[in-house]
Amino acid sequence: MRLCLVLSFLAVAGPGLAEIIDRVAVIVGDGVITESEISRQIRITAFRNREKPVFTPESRRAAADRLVEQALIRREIDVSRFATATTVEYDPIYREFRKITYPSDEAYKKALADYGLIDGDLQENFQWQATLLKFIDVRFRPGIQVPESELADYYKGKFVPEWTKNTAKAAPAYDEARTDIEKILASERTDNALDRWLGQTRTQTRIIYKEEAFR
Amino acid sequence: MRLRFGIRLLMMLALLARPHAIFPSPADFEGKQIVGIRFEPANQPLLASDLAERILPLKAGFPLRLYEVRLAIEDLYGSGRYEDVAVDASSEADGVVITFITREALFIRGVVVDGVGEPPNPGQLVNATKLQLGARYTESQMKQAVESLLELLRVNGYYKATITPQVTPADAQQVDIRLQVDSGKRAKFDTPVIKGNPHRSVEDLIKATRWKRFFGFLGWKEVTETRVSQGLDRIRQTYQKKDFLMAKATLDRIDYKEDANRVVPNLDVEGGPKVVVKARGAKVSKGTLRTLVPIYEEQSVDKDLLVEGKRNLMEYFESKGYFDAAVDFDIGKTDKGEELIEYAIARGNRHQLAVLEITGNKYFTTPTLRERMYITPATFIRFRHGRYSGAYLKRDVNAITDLYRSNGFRDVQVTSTVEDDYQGKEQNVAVLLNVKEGVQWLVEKLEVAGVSDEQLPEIQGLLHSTEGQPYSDLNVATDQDSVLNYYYNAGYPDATFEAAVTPSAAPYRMNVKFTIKSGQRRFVRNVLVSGLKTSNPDIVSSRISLHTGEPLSQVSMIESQRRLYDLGIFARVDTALQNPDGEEHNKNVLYRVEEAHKYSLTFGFGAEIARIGGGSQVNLDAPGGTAGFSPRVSLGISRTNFRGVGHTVSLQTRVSTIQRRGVLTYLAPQFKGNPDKNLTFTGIYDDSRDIRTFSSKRTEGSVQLGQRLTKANSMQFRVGYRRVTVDQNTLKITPQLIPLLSQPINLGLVSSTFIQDRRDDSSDAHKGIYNTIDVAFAASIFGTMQQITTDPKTGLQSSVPCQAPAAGATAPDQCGKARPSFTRALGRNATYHRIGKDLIFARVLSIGTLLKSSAADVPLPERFFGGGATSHRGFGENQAGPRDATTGFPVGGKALLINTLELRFPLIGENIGGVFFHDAGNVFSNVGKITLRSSQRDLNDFDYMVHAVGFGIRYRTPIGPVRLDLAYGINTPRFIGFQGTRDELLFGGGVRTEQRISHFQFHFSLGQAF
Repeated sequence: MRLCLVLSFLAVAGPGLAEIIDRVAVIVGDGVITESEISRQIRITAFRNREKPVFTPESRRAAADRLVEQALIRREIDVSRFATATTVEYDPIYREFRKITYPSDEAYKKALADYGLIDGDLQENFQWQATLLKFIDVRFRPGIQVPESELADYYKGKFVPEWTKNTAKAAPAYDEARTDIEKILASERTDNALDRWLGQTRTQTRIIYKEEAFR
Repeated sequence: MRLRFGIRLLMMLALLARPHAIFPSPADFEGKQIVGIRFEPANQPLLASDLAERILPLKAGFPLRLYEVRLAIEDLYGSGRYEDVAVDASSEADGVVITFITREALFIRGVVVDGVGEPPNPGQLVNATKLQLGARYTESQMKQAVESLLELLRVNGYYKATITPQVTPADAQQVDIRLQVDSGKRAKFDTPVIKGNPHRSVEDLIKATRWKRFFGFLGWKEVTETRVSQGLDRIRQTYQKKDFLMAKATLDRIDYKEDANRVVPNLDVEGGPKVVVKARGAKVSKGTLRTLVPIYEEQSVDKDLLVEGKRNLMEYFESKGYFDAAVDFDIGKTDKGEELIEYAIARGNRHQLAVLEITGNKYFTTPTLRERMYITPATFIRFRHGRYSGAYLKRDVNAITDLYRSNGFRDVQVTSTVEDDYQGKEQNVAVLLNVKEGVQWLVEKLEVAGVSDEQLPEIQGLLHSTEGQPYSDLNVATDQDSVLNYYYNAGYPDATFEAAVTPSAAPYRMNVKFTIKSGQRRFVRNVLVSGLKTSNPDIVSSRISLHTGEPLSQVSMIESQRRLYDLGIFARVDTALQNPDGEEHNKNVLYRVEEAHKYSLTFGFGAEIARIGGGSQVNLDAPGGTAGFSPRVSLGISRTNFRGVGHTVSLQTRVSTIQRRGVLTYLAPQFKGNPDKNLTFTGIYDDSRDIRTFSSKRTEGSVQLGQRLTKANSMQFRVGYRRVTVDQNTLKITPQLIPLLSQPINLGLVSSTFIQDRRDDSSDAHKGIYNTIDVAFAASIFGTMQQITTDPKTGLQSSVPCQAPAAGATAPDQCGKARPSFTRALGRNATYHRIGKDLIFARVLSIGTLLKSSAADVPLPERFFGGGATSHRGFGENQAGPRDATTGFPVGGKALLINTLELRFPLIGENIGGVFFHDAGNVFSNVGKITLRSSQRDLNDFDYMVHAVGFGIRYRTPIGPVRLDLAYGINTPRFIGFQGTRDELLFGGGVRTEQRISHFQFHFSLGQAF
């Protein structure tokens, strides 16, 4: 009799069990990042890197961190009424990605389905990437200036040794390499400025990770 | 046992074999039909309509899409009403049921910090928490609040303080926060550690800080933030006084000795060199140098400050008429090796700004432009050399330019020329301003987009930039403010305004397009009031004009807050939106009140100096009054919010050598919730000798209903009953009249006053009108029976007392009794007119009459008395009008006519003004005796116009002008007075002499005469 009861439970219990299908995972100021958004982020990143998506608590946490930064930047973009990238701006890199990674439409669609994504997810991701680059360039790059002495120091201390090591040839003259060095250093400083801003904004924003979403 | 093991095994296998069936993944629900949507808990904080809108398109009967679930969660959280949202799905036979599992957000209703002795005061404590009314409550905020509070307590010496937060849930997702502080004992100072090179002993520096009690005999004082900063300031000041202007004293850190509960301030003190500041080439006092050279105020010496000092000195000399003044400075060393800052001043000749001429202006008249200018040509007394400096001129040129530009003259050019030795007159300076107006730009076409047809006329009514009107950037900016305010107040907090301006095809014309996006309209969800302890909630709710469902108007919120403050029972009224950042259509409006202390005590003392002396109880020598001094003390106690209904009970007492007075008042402001009505019950006890003729005791009870009819007009209705007793031992009148006039008098009065006040400033009016009409009727039914006599020949009745009948005889038939009944009317009309820029002509006419309607005479204290600082300044206080035929003391009249003319003008600088005045009029025996005659017929004639002229000085203060008036009475009355004592008056003796009210009178008081 007892056995019958157990069997009948097993027969009916499955369909009736409740499952959390989505929830708030991180609170960022007045907005939230949901658990499904984190999963989507992992899948997109894996898709673009042609890797298998990993949904461990650590990878979920890392994806959440990236989404928090996105949320902070998005908020700044909204406040400053910065224009998001247009199709013209992001479509070339999107097409380039498809051409290189999934040359045929079928392979692309199958891969998307395998990763649980749709084409819109990927386009949105490319649009965001283009918007972000544009924003960084407008918001942080103009204030960056690299003194001539640092360019010269970099040339002597890093550029020449690495060039020699990598190419086994004589390094170009300073004047020839100067523009590239300036780009490298300016880029480093821009990244630093962005990091500083993000760090500062994080401290001023209420950010709460809901632990139950990362177990 | 085996069976049990088998069952377990079976279950485990089943679980392993069908993982999706027992623990389905979210993707398993994708596309399944939604058969039900539930909420847990069932009662959700959002309104049902709002909730349904936010979870759309998740609907029963439609397939479940996970991205829609995500959007619904984001939208629900975006409302600000939730702290957590999760969505649960479970399969049913024919689809899926989704459940929103939510946790409500909490919002701050009130913050109280208890257990701390001042300082810091309660306001500082609450502000330190940074917990805002209506804001979302979070635990992290609470931690920060506790940290901030502990920091504030530490800087105020409470190093051992501990805080216990208590969070109490309240209705409407609110929480009350109480931070219970166990402050411990406040730490005391200990000997500070001084670093640096102070050039002084530590003892001297400690003495300067005043951190020790009573010169150190009573140990160290307790630490407070103010004491620490004041101590440092005082150290700096001691250096300043000795010209060590570069001295620095800063707090490096504070070390706390826990065992002794003491703090050791570590100070960095650098004495620096002595700095001597001198002026060369012109005499400048040390005090003036200190004012003009900012190194003293800033306690620092740098080039910028020295340059600022140079500029200030130049302006100082320019303002004194030295328009060519040149100032420079050198930095060097004195013979003693001190730092020397020497300002070299070349004053040049003293000039006078003789002419200020404006040419080229057509659109604006010269007086209109002059009104906006600061530079002023020389005038007698006030600006002997004129007011001029290069900076002033620049400012004025800019002011004129801005005025033109704001009226469409986009190309205006204002140039200035300064001519010295103008028209050959040495040292005369002329400033010539030339205005090239250019063409006025007008609005050719105005388009307002984004506004409904119904709203358009109202919006257009707000705009300055209308077709055919001048175009200016200022007008556009003003229009933006007006339109946005209109929308904000109509419940559109996200409204935006954009202006696009393009030149029209026609020359000097602009096409203007305003695009308005109203955004989502917000409404009031509920009005939540908190903080009431003893007050009746109705008195608060009746003063809040916002109601559920109405558009959320910021003006109404602020206006309601003002009305609550106006009740006078709240020390603080805060208003805020609950969940201010949440995306909700319907917002809760919060009012947090803090009830004020119920009792307040006021104490004051002062003195009256005027012609109030003479005529003491025994001496009748000076009926016209002599200069006297009367010290006074006042004490008041008020109980506000009586019985929690916002009413006030107060007792005000005043004691002086001529008056003892107590007034008990019960005031019901905003009576019955009407902000324009108030009800006052008053009880008065007054024992005064302000009228020189007698002392009277008055007890009075009255009820007054005040009603404001319009902004300018108001009415007062009163019913009162009073009993006045004249002390017969103080009456300085003909002995035969004493029994009559010393009778106690009971009076019942019904009166009404109309007040019309259209003055620009009630304490010092420059323009406008002030009218009052007061009518009172004393009904005989309440009056005291008085003896009267009927003249057997004329049949006229009067208050002459009956002669006692001879022994054995009956009283004569003509004797009788009557109660006093009279009507009193007093009107006052004052107007104020501006003449030119600086002069004010003010005038006031007062007319009054007393008409008796019974045989009994009008009692002495009810008659008109006049004369004094706010009446006729040719007389001392209450000295006008009829006088006693024997003693010469004033006995009051039954009619009054006084006309006053004043010319008010600036005298010296901005704060001292002058007044020329002419007062004419008198108090008359009755209305029929009013005359414009200026001569006195005989010593018993007081019914004529007395004229007085005079000069007064006004010194402007924040509470109104302080006033000194000197009056010369041209035709002051002469009268028969009595020189002798009261006993001599009653029993014979003394001398009757001819006397006269002094021609010279002085009056010292606060506020203008009218």
